[in-house]
Amino acid sequence: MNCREAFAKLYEYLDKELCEDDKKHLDQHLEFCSDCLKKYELEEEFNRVIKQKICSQPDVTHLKNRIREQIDKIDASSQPRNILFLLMPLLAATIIMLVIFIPFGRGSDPQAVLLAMRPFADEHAKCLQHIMKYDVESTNPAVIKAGLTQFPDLPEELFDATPADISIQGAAVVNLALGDDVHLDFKAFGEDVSVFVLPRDIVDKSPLKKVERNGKEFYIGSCPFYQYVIWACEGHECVAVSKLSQSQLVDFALIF
Amino acid sequence: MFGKRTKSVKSLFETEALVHTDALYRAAVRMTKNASDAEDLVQESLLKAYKSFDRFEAGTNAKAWLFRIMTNTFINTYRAKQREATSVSFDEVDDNFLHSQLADLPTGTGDPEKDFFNKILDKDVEEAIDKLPEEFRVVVVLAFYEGFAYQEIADILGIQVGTVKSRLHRGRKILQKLLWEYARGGDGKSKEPAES
Repeated sequence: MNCREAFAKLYEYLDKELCEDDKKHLDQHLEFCSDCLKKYELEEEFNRVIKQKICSQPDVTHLKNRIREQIDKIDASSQPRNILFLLMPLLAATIIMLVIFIPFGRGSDPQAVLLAMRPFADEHAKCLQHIMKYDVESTNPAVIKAGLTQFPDLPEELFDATPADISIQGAAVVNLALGDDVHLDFKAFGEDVSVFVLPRDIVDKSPLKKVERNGKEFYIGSCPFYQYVIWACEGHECVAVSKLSQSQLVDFALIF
Repeated sequence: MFGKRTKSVKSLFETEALVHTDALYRAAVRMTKNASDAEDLVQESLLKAYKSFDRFEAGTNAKAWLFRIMTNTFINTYRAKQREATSVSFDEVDDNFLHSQLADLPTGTGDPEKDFFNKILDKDVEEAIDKLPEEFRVVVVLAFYEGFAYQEIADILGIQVGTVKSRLHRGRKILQKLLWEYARGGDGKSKEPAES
């Protein structure tokens, strides 16, 4: 190990994040390189001093009590609130599905719709691809909106199409209202997807885990019907991408 | 399934989540740079946690889970309120900055390293952390204040471990530069232009 390599590993060593092998090599290097040892000791001392300076213990008794009071309030109205909260993603999905399926003249119960639509999965996939293509080609919000107003007309022409390969390969860039950029990269999943634009407040209320893939940040969570992935964006709206298993049908909507 | 919470849920929340209030608050102050925003952020985060406590699996890392909720809440809600006013250019801080500064001091009197560390005041450290650009600040806070491991920080922030390493590395270098300048300025006063 040379000095440059040693320096690169120095913080990991300090943070006790080095594997045994690297640790051994660095120890060996520090043993004979006084220059690196000096740097190491300086960093170690810096680390120690900083940690020592920030070890103050804030008094949070008041804050804790405030939170306990709020929790009591939540509990007092527990049942309706909890149900509403837990069902929020389902509710959102239901509303969206209604919006999607009403133009197709399908039923209103999501479960029934899922069952009823199963034979049409291929057509929907084709429809999905068509819209994807459309979106890829346009980044202008006005154009996309105009395109989506044609959405109810799409299925008829697509229903004649041959069954399509459902997996979607490609990326779409959709400009949302208010000029917010949202990037959808479907290659990341290699699975069937559906896309929803959800109001930001619904997204915020969902118990989501933030993850990063391909250098982009998004949120992942689950609800009784879907596993969905939601891309983060600033502003009032968000795009949600839901993953459905092969046996489920594919549906798609962008709602502004 | 969605029945009323039993008392045991509440007491579980008390022992699994509320015990971390001080840690959350300490980090929140540095994230928001403001005591009152920090209180709101912690409260909002803990209430979110309580509402989704059903999803929390007992025995898993509750602290990391809470910090994840809090950093998400911060990034989504509070960050928009702040406009980063970075008065210092951090583009390139030499990796050996502190080492060379100390080495460049005239030799003779005392121990320059000890003098430097002695001059650093608690509030200097806080002030310097507050000046870090947000992406570095959050990582530095999670690592220094809470001692989270790289992987935990990566999970909390939803970023790669490599990104954690590099942000922490740069964060440290910037801190060293700032604290060096404070110490040189005397009385811990910054020589940098005032924060806006």
